[in-house]
Amino acid sequence: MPGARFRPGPDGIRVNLRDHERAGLAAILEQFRQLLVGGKDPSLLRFQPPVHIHDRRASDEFWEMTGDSLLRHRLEAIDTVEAGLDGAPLDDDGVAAWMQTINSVRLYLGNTLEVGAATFNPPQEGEQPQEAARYVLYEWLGGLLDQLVAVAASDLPPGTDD
Amino acid sequence: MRPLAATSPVTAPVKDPVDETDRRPDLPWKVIVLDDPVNLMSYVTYVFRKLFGYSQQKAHRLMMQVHTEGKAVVASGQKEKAEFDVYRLHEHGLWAILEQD
Repeated sequence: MPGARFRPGPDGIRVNLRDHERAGLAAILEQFRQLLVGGKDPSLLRFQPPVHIHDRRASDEFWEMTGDSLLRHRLEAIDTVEAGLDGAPLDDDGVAAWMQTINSVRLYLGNTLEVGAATFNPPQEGEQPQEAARYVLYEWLGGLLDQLVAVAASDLPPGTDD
Repeated sequence: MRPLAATSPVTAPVKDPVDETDRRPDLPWKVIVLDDPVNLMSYVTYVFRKLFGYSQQKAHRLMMQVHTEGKAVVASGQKEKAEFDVYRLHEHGLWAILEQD
């Protein structure tokens, strides 16, 4: 497929980003890493929402047990994506790291842009240039993730209906 | 999952007057995925296939249930296994919760 950023190969999925895309993604990943490490942005709450809807204490205990582990995993995934920006083929762990990282950045952007709000309209460049730029990035990452999912899904086993 | 911090203060156990978890230890726990306006439908379907070994048809059906009804039970079992499933779903960016039957 012309313009495909991910292609199946004999030794894993090949990443085929253009130079400006690779540089842009590297910059975004560094910003996202700093955001995660800082841990103060309110939009990060999306990454640790209540897991026991009717029991706040149980939710807090769950995140006390798992929060550090999940943060460490997210940071390691960012490292993996950065290491693969040069086009080295992705093994299963690499595919997981790319998907989870792209999706995490989208989750953050989507929450800051409030894309789920009933009144949401895509921001216009002339009126809200910063929000419009973030929305373009959000959409681009969505396309990137969708492409990777399409390629990686063909490697999954048939699975069961049970 | 890592254990609770070993530095937690040690105090005498206090019985919680109403602890649903203790009262129903044998009932299975449901792993429920909630709808999210950001996650791609293709990605959610992929995650269900990858984590639970579901067929494309079943994974797609569950994803559509999440999308149209706001939530779907994607797995159930003992609490520890259910918590692990919830952890893995959050690792992939899906919003999963736990409920006991």
